[in-house]
Amino acid sequence: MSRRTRSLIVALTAALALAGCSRAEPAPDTAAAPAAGGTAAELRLGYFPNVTHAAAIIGDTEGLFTQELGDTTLTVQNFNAGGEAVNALFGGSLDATYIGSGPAINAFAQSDGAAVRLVAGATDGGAQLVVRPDITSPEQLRGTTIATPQLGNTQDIALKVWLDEQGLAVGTDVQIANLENPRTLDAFRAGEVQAAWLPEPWSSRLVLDAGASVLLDERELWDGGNFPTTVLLVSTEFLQAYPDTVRALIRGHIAATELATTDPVRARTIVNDGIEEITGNRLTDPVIERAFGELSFSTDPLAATFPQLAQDSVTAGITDELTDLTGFIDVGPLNAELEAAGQPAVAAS
Amino acid sequence: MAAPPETVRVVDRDAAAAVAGLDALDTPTVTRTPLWRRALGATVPPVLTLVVVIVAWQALWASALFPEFKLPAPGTVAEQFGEIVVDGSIWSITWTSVGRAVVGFLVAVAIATPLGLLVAKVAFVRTAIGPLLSGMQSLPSVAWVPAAVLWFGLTDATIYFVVLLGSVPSIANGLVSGIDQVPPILGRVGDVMGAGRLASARLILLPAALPGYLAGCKQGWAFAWRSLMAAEIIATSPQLGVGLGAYLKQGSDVNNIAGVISAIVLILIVGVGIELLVFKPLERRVLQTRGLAAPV
Repeated sequence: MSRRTRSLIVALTAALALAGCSRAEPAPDTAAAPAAGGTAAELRLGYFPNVTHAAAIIGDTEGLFTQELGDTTLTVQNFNAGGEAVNALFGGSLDATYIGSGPAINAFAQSDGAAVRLVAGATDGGAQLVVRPDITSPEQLRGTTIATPQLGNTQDIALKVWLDEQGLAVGTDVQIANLENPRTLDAFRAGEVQAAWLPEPWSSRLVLDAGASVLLDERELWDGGNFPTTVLLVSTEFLQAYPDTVRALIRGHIAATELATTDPVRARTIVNDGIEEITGNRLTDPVIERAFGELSFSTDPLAATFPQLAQDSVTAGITDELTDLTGFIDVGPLNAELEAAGQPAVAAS
Repeated sequence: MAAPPETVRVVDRDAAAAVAGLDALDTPTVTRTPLWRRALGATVPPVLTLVVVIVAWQALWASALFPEFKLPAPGTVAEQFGEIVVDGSIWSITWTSVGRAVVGFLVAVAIATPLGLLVAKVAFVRTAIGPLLSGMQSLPSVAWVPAAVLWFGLTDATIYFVVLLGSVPSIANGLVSGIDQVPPILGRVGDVMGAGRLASARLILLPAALPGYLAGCKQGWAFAWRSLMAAEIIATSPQLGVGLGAYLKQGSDVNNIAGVISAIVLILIVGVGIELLVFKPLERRVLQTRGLAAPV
């Protein structure tokens, strides 16, 4: 080895040791400083064309968001499941999204609590395990393939935890297929999957359009039958830079939730119109009626359920270790807006 | 580090011996480098490159320009990588994909070789499907995935379909261009010696076209491997099992960047491994028999 090579290697080792010792403190974000008193020029909002995202569909199509956002332009983007939405949030192409509790926790965990904050709840309930009619007990699921919307999404986690409790091992006793919801309906009809754990309206569609029966309503698994299915997640950076815009979004969200709870008939039509516009498919009246009956809308994120949800994420093998949820739920802006609207505050933990 | 040329001693005035001596003078000198030196020479530069890349990566990470959920530390990725090594899933993941790629590639060779011969030797076939074959080669086979999923469902058939469409054209085209570059005199020599069509193909055409054919095969493997990864990332189902593509997709689904990068590293390792273990030695042998590379 020549002397030059040797000195090169020594230099490299030194550089490696130097680089290895510590990570610089991230520079304070001066670029994202509030532009006009914390109001953003644009808000990029994500949601899914599901009934569990009714508040988002109502707020978007009825103009409740734009009304509150004022000069801020609203750009919406639709996703099939939470994982994709989180990738968009991480990649900086999304500022806020309606999302399931599972991916919301995962986003917080994967970014070591840095990237996202949960600012409000949206939907409780509305997820069921629907099966081929001849399956009447968990034991009969042995040897079947069960569909969920995406690896690590809320229903995927719920299914894996439940299977674990039933003593059914994934991969040997049952298979899990992660399919986009419309594909699940086709696959169920074709007999490729025998069961599916789905959010509304897809569980209702499988029951009413494809003859499935309900083996389990996820409400049965929770005390009082309440668990968060959909929450409103905001990028931390956006929340810090544009608190006023987030407050405006939350006002629109409160208004949409109120419409959904006080005038369900109108809400059903709005949501169905919205779903038709996004997917090109209209739900039949029985499906949308059944779907609305299986869930309830509330801005309360049910913060008390999150430690259990974080534990479930570990049980399902999506996160390696229990996520420390400190700082995850930030209902300060929500409670301020609720108080202004004369409504009771929600619990922060 | 050239060794002194062999000294040739002309013992007496014997003409034959003198000529032999001249011959010996004319043969190229073969320098014998010791094995450890050659091994060192072959491994140090790539290892150095690797170290530079990792140091740069580590430095970039340490600068905290990007949040860790976008750019993890090399150590975090190594940890993720270690996890699949320790639990043994690395073997099943790699084997699922490599097995598919090898089977797909061998089938592609079996289809593309007669196809290439036909295109090269039969004028009608060349005009009829030659342009299509070249066109197919430039069509990214990932474009077939959505159609294949509709036709075959989420099954191995989909994956093999995409792999074959990716690799058959480049192997066939490699063979065609290899044959086109065979000097016509070789064929005429065969005619003179009484070789029939088949014998001429087997004994003259194929060996003479071997370098071009091999280059086509190498490209065909690369296309097969790329197509396979594209198909595995898009088409995932429990029936298909977890290959490298599905493993990458899983990392992306749960937003785990360390998992995504360790999948990319694993895909790269397999690619480099196949190149070093299979194609490099093969190519070397072919070149050597043609006097185009120094014997090892």
